[in-house]
Amino acid sequence: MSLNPVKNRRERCRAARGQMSEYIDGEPGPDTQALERHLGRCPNCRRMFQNLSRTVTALRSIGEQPDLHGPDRGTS
Amino acid sequence: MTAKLNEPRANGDQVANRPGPSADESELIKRAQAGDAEAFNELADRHGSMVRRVLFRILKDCEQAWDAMQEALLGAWRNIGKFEGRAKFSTWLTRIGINEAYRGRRRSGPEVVGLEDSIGERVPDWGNRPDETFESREFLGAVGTALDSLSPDYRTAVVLRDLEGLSTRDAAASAGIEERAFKSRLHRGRMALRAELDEYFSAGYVR
Repeated sequence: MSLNPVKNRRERCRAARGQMSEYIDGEPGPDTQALERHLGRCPNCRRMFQNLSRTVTALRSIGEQPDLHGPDRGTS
Repeated sequence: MTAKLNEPRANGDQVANRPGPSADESELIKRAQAGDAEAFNELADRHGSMVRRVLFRILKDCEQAWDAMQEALLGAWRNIGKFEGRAKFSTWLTRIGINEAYRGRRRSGPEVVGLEDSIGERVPDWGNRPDETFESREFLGAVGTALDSLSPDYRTAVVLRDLEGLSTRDAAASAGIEERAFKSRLHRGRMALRAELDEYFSAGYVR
């Protein structure tokens, strides 16, 4: 018995998206190959992964720039 | 000679980021636990700047962040005898600071960010913009604004892991939650930011 193909695809998207942060952090989950395979096939998830990666890169960049990362001087 | 103990300075920012003195941190902790305020001040100087940045990001208010920092340092000074060294001192201090930041705030848990709503919908393409676009102050400013819009629990996770660069383990301990829960919170926070930034692109705020 095969799953509904649309439902099946949504499940793969859901599983892939759930692993994206760990993958970006170099802490890959148990099914990294499935994620990479899915990113190669699903343009929607590929865009999401690219956008998420750019977001995380920007956050790290903010953390490296004190003037963007909040006051680094006392307020007294 | 018995030195008169002074209250710690409770600021932790004046000499942050200077090269550390030769005194080993564990030695400073032992001295602070024995009542040496100068040793405690040295620890506060080493780590206070990072904690204060985290508190500012959580509270989004300089004065409140300053107050929380003062309370955190006083709390740490009073309780340094209970520090067992199971976590880094910086993690312990950050945890106390975050508790202070949340004091008085209702802890109802993070608003749950749905990750599944957009499955099946077209994910916006941020386009073939050059890398410079994503390194520009304009874009980073948009990310910072979006970060401020996150609920405090998600914001805390993102600040600890991405802005401060703590390991997942240390960030989770600082937030006072299990690693698995922290990872989930971090991922949801990042995804919420990404979704918020879609709006910036679609509205043309970032070219």
